[in-house]
Order: sequence, then C-alpha cells, then structure tokens
Amino acid sequence: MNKTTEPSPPNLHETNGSEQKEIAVSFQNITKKYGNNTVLDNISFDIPKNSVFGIIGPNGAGKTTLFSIAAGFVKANSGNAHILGTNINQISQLLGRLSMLPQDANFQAGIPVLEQLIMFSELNGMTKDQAKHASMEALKIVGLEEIAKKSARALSHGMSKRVALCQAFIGNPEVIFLDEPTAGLDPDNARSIRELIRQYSKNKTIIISSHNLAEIQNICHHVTILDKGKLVENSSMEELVSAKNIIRVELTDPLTEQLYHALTALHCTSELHQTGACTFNLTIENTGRKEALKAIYSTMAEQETFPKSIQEGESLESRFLEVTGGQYDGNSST
Amino acid sequence: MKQLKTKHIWIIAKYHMRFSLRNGSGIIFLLLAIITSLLVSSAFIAPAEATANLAKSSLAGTDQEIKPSDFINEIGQSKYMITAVNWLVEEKDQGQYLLKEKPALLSCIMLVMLMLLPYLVCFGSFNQTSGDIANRGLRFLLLRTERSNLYLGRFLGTILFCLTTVIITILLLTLYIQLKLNIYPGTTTWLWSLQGAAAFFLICLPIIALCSLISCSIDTPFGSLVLCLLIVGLPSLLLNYAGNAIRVESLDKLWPTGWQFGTLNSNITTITITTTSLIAFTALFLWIGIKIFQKRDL
Repeated sequence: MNKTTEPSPPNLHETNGSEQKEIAVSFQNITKKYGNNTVLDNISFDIPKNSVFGIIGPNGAGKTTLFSIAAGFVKANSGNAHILGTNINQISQLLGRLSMLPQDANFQAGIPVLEQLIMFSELNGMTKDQAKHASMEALKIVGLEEIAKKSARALSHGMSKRVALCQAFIGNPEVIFLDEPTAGLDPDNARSIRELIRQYSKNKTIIISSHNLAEIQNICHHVTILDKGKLVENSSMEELVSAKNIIRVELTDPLTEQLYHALTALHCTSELHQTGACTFNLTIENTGRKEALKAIYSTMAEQETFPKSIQEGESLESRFLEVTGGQYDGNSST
Repeated sequence: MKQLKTKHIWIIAKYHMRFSLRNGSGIIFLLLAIITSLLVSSAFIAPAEATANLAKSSLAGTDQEIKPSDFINEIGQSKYMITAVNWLVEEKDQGQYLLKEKPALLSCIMLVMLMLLPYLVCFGSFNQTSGDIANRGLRFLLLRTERSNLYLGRFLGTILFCLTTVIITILLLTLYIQLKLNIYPGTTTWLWSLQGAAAFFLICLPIIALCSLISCSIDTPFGSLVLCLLIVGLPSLLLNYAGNAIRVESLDKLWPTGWQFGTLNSNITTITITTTSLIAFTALFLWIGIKIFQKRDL
C-alpha cells in the first residue's frame, strides 16, 4: 500500500486578520478540462469546519465538477484537494467521515432500498445489525420507512432524492456534500429537506450546491460563486449580502415618480435602483441604518405608499447577478 | 495496488452476486447455461440412445448378456462423436483419451460446452460496472471504498456467481446423462464431471476478467455486451486464420479461447500449462482493468 508523502495543508483558516478557524475542505489551484473546454480554472478556496457552505453559479459554472473532484469521482488536471486534512487521492482514509448526495445518481433499480442502504452502511464499517438499524433510522428521518422494502424502481423522483439524502447522513459523517439537494422537488419536499439540513448541520460541515439562491441565503453561513469555471466571489454570507449599505424595498403598488423623488431627496440615501415595478434598492449613506429606515418609512407614509417588505442588505440574487453579469436562471422562491 | 481491503471486497462481492441475480443479468446467464447444456446434452444423447437401442436389438434373440460396457464402446466409436471431438480437439491422443478412456458422451458434451461457455459467460459478466457508470450509481460507493476494492469485489461476485452456475450446470448435465442413459460407472462419471466443472470454471476466469475490463471502459451495458461477445470471439478467429495463413502453429494460444480444451487432457503437464496460462490471462486483464478503472472519471 502506497502512502503519499505530500504534506497536508495547514488546517487553519484565517479570517478578519486574527480569528482562525479550522478548515474542513481545501481546494488548491483546481483545474479541470474536458478537451479544450476549461470547466474549472485554477480554483482555490477553503471551507471552514462546522459551517454550512453554499456553492452557487449559473449552469455550466463547474459546481458539480468541483463536487465530483472533491469526492474523487473525477480527477482534476491539476491542483489538489484536501478533506479533513486528507488528500482526496487517499479518500478511503476518510471512510465514514465524508459522504455525498451526488446529482443524478441512481440506485440499483430492482433492489430494495433498505438492502442498498445496508450495503453502504456495512462499507462504512458497521456490522450487519448496526447497518440495518442505522439504515432504518435514516429512512425514518426522511419519512420513508414504509418504502424500505420497495425496490428503487418503484420510487418517485422526490422519494429517490430523499433516499439519496438519507444515505448521505448514514453513520453521522463530519463532511457532507449535497449537490442540488432540492432540485426537481415540489415545494413541500424541498422545505422538508431544507429543514432536515438545518436540523443535522450541527457539528457538521455541509457543502451545498444549488440554483436556489433564497435557499442558499437562508441555510448557508458562507458562499462561493462560480462563473464559467472561475471563482468570482467567496465570503461569509453576512459579508456578501451586507457588502453595501443597501435597503431592499418591495411595495404593494408600483413605485411612483413622486415617491422616487422623495426618497432620492432624503439626506440619508444616495441612490435608488429600481429592480422591478414594485421593487427597488436604496443605497444609504453612512448615517446609521436606524435613522435611514426611519426616514424611509416616514417618507413612504407621507406618500401614502405601503411597503410589502423592507430588508437590509443586498439580496444574494442581486449580488449573484452583479458578479456573474448575467441572468439568473434558477428558482429563488421554492 | 493501494488500499485493498478484503472486508470491502467481500461485502461488494456478496451484494453484487445477490443484486445481479435480482437485476436479471445473473438469471439470464444461469438460464442460458442450463438451457444450452441441456440442449447440447440432448443433441448427443439422442443418437447415443439410438446406438444403444441398435446394439440391444442386434443382440435380441441371442443368449448373449447385454452389458452397459458394450454400449460404452459402441457410443464412443460412433461417427458423430468422433467427428465432434476431431473438430474441436487438434491432438489425436487427446481425442482418443476423451472418447475411449473417459465417458465419451460426457466428454463430447463438455467439449461443446467449453466452446460455448466463453460466450455464455459474457451474458453474466458484461454489466459489472458499465450500468452503474451510466446511471452514476457507483458514486454512492466511491466515497465508501477504494476503486480497486470496488472493481475486485464485483469481479469476485461475478466469479462466485459463475462458479455456482457451473456447478448447477455440470450437476444437471451429469444427472441427465445418468438418468437418461445409465451406461457409465457412477464414480468414473462423477470424477470426470468434477474435472469438467474445473475446466468450465477455468475458462470462465479470463473471460470474466476481460468482461470486467470492457465493462469498466464502456458506459453503456448494451455496448459492453456487444463488445464482450466480439472481443471474446473475434481475436481467436483472426489468430486461427493468421496461424493457418502464415503456417505458425498455436498462434491461437495468444488468446484465452486458444486454451479452451487443454484442461480435459490426460497429460498433467498440458493441464498445468493450460491452467497457468488461463490464470495469467486473468491476472493480465484484471491488472489492465483496475488501471483503467482507477484513472477514469466516474
């Protein structure tokens, strides 16, 4: 048995100059090409331990390829990845500590779901009895214990996705990659999966790729934006969405010219950017958010206009559009 | 080879064996092997029965006692058996050994089965990984074990399933002969069957390894099956043709099917060389297959 002599990367991640966090996953100069097409171009970033980390990007940005490289499904042309300090070339050393919900992976069609989960658990190092118990427990968590003995062929898309998610949580792994966990699910199923992720994210590092920006904004602590194989943004969610002093307003009726002028005339606002008929972003001066909000509310009241919602900070969607310079083709509401 | 884990290989083999039976490919192979062996048996038994009946009728009305051994000689020297053996086996000594010293009927059936088995076994082993590569099902396993364990586990599972099929086939074959035409002494027949089972199993080994290699290189199960059947058969045909054209003997030995009948021989050296060659082919195909499987994107 060979052992790579390459040293592990430093297991610490520096934030804000002084605070240091442990690193769960580290990508270093990852490049992946398919023929002349560069899918990932020199990607480097770290994922802090015990965080919920979102990776977003338009179609073809390289999210799934990056996941595949992290899991060892696909080999990078150059660069390195370490998970919990272990080089991914020696992925078996992470046995039971790492799991994944792969995108579009199918279970063996004619085989009962439970039997497949038992096999996965046995490979995770459990005895047959432990494996059976853990698999049933995992099925219970995703509310599918009644389909345990059904073959994978008999499952709907939503059920398959939940079983796939359940296999990712078997054995209490430390790092979990979830590739589009709610893609193709109805809102009910999607919500229950989001709840599940929230519930099980304690003391775990969960990395989620998704088209659903609202989902990422709600669940994740950190986010990385990929575009055309390049890393265009990487920061904590808080830093990202409050990067500018922005207040997002949604009105019950369309924005009138009078209100527009009244709001832009305020001493605390510097810019109004209309994002829709009833929505706009206000850039505020450094006079304090409280004061600004007060002034905005009273101006709207004077104009007899009522806000449907007022949110501080930039939305992930607008930040996403800004850094990718393109159209958002995902779903931000389910 | 790094990170080989016997426990993982065994778990994967066990489940692969079970799953391939449930998914249908294993059942197809088992049924094909049984049906083919019974068809081949009946094709040989029918004329053998006729020969025995003829011998019986020729002795009818005489005081001569009818012994099973009389039929053994009659059947062993019948034209169709000699033709079949001479067609399949090049060495005359081996032909004589198979027809005279061993139960001729069983020898002929085993020879034909040895000729067909490499193709039949493709049906049981073409889908070791290709289907799961196509539907990305392997991704559920790749985080739980090394690729080499996965590859060897599936190979071992196929081998075990093949061994079970071979045992069932040979049992049915021998029972069929013994029940239908009880002319050979039991011990001799069962011992010869045992050697036949070993010969069947040995020829299956490199073919399964070759199918593993093809299966891990091709992303579609159907493509894998077609390629397996072509690659098992075509090289031996080409090598035979080339050998005859350039007058080089034994050129067909460059491919596993060239060693098909070497294990049913009286000469222990020939048996040893054949066994070694088949195992060497198996090891070579396995080695190449693992290298491909470890490097490819899954």
